[in-house]
Amino acid sequence: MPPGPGRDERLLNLLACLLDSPAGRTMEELVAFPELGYPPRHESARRAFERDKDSLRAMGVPIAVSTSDGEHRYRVDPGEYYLPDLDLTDDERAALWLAVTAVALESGPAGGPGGADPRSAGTSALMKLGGFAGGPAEPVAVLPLDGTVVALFEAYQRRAPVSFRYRGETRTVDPWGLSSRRGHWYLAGRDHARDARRTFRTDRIEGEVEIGTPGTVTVPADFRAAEVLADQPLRYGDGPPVTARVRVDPGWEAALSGFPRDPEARFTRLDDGALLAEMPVVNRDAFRSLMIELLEHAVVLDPPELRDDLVGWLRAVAGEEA
Amino acid sequence: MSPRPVVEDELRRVLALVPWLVAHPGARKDDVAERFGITREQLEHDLALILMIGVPPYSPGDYIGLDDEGETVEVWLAEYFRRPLRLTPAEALTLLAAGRALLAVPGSDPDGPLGRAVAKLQAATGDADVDVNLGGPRYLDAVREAAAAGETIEIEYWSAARGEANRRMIDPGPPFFAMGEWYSDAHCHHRGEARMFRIDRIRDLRPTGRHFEVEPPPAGSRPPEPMAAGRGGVPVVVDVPAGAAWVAETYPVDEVVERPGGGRTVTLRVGEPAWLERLLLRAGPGASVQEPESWRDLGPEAARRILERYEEHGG
Repeated sequence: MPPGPGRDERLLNLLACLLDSPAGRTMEELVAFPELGYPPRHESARRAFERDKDSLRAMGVPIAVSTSDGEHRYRVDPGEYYLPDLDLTDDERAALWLAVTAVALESGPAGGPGGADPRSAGTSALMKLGGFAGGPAEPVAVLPLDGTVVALFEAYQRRAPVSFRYRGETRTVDPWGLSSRRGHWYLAGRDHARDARRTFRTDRIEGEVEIGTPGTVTVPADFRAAEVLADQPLRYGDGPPVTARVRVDPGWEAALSGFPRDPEARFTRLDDGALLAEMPVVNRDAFRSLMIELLEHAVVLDPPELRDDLVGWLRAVAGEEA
Repeated sequence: MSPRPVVEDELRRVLALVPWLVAHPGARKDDVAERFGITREQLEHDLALILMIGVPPYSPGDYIGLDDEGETVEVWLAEYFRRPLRLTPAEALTLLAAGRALLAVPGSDPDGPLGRAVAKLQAATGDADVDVNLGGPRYLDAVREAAAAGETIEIEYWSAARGEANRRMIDPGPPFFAMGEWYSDAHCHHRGEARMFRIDRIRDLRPTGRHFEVEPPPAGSRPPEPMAAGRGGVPVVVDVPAGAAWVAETYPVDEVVERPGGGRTVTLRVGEPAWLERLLLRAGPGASVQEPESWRDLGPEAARRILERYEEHGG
């Protein structure tokens, strides 16, 4: 062990000092405190301080920097740092612990930008809320949760717009809500360029999410993610629905059960035992996905654009593109 | 995921421990260790660290007061650490999403302790809620009850691979939700082996009155992988284009290698070729099977089979 305080001790005392310095402290002041045990050489001390600052920020400590007379002063605003008292009862805390152990929130194997480890996020969150009470639960569900969703949630919490690449286009969106449906996360919000509400599947976002200026988004008071993202994937997206007419072979209706029924959908039994499904479609990707689920056991009859869309896609897969 | 530096884990814990100890003077050390999921040894280590906390330049009044002689512990004067650090977005989202997910399981009580905890959490974290919907196939409750009671059930099960339904007896395991569907890991009498059933594909269900022995899965364990378990899946290597990178995020994969340009080479286990056909068709023209060689043409062949139907129907 080197003489002087360990790094854990220094980080704690640095944090205490930053919390206790309303006017802020310069780096020179901080590294000069013998109690913090920074190395004597200026360059080494500066590097060690930068590393400490990064560690604290990575833990979520809001370190603020103000500049006056060319000097940077660092501080932590207690109001920003402190967790408000949630006033949880023991049974409420136990219920949260049960939920965190019953629901495995896993980042995809590819991780994600800024990917956090959700299981340890649940553990550290519970510690902040006063520790664990009661035992862990049997696993009930696995949901994906990657860095993209965390970044979108952070923007939504801070009422900040987000920008990201989606289908090869940069979209800027006011986040209004996040929803997990059938194992996928969706972002709903106002698309700036289209000045209209849009829905995005988060695992189709390409690359990093950029978070804009906090406090510039107002979520409409009557907005409910659960209602907008009614469990009808065929309805997500832009524009008015078209009615798809699909002939499903006898015995294959069950494949449709994976898709929740739209109240406006109609199903008719044909003379040969096949099922005629008439469904409103907005989201062509979801429609194509449904048709793929049915493989060669169903045919799109109408409208021509949906039929051509699917046939064109299949031809490309079959390598029959002209 | 790379392991997190130990020092940050320790710091997180100490910053949560101090305010709790201040609020609970005289707490028993064993209880504290249990509550924070650590050993007595770790706790003693943390307490030694807490004793060193002070605001530089140190003066006697700036140290944290600590009395940890014997079996109890008392902390005072920890003014600057009187509250825990606010939740990070990942922490808040994890609690909210897990809470909402469990509340979305059919049969849970929205007004119970979990519902109240989630509401308090939401109010304290920027009033940002998340909506989680797990769906609820028709026979979910019946499977859950049979699994809990250890009752063999007879089901009519629709197989997407063969496009037909048949009846069989199963000893169902407790339902779990993964990859957007509800599953039961069951013992199938018909096959005499473990099989994974998608509950939304059960078309009919009847209790049999016969019972089997229930083996509860170990608490805190992970649910089984729907695609891998009990199937002896074949490892398949697939190249997917950048636009279909979701494949790697959506399905349980053994390995993902990012290629220049954003595409991925994904290794996953496949039980039924029909399942892989659907994956390839969804991923689109840029996706191709590298291994096994016998499945290289699986996607294009499936596409051609479907296209034949369109020719019959006047394409």
